[in-house]
Amino acid sequence: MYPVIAPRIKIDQQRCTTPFACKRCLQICPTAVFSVHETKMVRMEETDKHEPGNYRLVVVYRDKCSACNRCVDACPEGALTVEMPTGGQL
Amino acid sequence: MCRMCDSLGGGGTWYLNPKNYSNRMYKLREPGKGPTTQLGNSANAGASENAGSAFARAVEAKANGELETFNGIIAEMNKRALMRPGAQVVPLHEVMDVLDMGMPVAAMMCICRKGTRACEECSLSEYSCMGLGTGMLKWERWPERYRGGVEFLSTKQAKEWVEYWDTKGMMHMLMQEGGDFVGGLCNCDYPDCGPIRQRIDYGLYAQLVKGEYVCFVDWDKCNGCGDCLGRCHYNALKFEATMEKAHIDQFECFGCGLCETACPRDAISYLDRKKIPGLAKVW
Repeated sequence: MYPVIAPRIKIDQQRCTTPFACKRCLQICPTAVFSVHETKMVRMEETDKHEPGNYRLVVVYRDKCSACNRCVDACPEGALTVEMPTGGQL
Repeated sequence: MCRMCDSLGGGGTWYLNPKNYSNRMYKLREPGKGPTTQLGNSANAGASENAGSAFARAVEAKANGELETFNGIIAEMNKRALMRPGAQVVPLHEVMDVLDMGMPVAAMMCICRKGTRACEECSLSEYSCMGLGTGMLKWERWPERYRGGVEFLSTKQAKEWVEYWDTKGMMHMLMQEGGDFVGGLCNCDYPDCGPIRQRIDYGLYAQLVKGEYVCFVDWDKCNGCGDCLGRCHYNALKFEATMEKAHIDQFECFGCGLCETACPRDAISYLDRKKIPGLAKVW
């Protein structure tokens, strides 16, 4: 393994409100960088995936991001930005 | 895993020992510890509550190009988890033996695939995870794990269901989640499966221990048809163009047997890992 600096992925949580219902970025990412988590549970059941704020998109495997920008293009809300840090490589 | 077989195997493979499916096993815990050790082994199961975990720090270090920090965190995690493996790879024919012993069995949604690819598994034909053993009788206690839905299966149904996933290309692993008991059986693939990914992408050895076997291609029988290719989740199986045969890297092979179940000519067989000197300690 040689050191590589991975891109920075920003999720605008104000725009990305129903990721489990939308799931475009989750299913399009070639390296499966994202993960979606529920934010609350009521009586053992998860809450409505269409209700804003019940699920949250997170970046779990940032080291696997290649900045191919497929997720950025796929996001209907424009909530994602992927930036290469200056230099890009050590 | 050596410790598992030494202390729980009763002279054989630990997961083939019926005692390990008894209720008693759920009550054996390390003094002062809960039933599972949280070593960031639920990276998929909730990065939000896990943001400060060792695993998240390791990924961040790697993404920032700080390999020394990354290696240090991984080494520390491996040291702590060494004696408490998360899961082990099991080939299909032994899954069948396990299903004869472990009751009850209940199918449920896969927590990894739900997180990684937002899969909404809602019925038996979609469920890919299985709870196994008496712990399942109390599944309501962990709603955050079972999402309010499980479907109890007969042994026969369970076997058919696992075969279905094997045909689809999912390998099988027994989940211990750090405990000395068999808690579940997962049908998994890369990259959706948390343990596979943590092992092969980040070197967390204890999250997924290799199987008791290593797959071997008999080149007298292999005609190079390629039916097995694409089934391996561990980068162990290639097509050797020079010889026009399937090629398995024994050191990469986890012994899941997906190539074996796909071979129409019975050209692939299982070797006992412990009986091959150079592989006996490769777990």
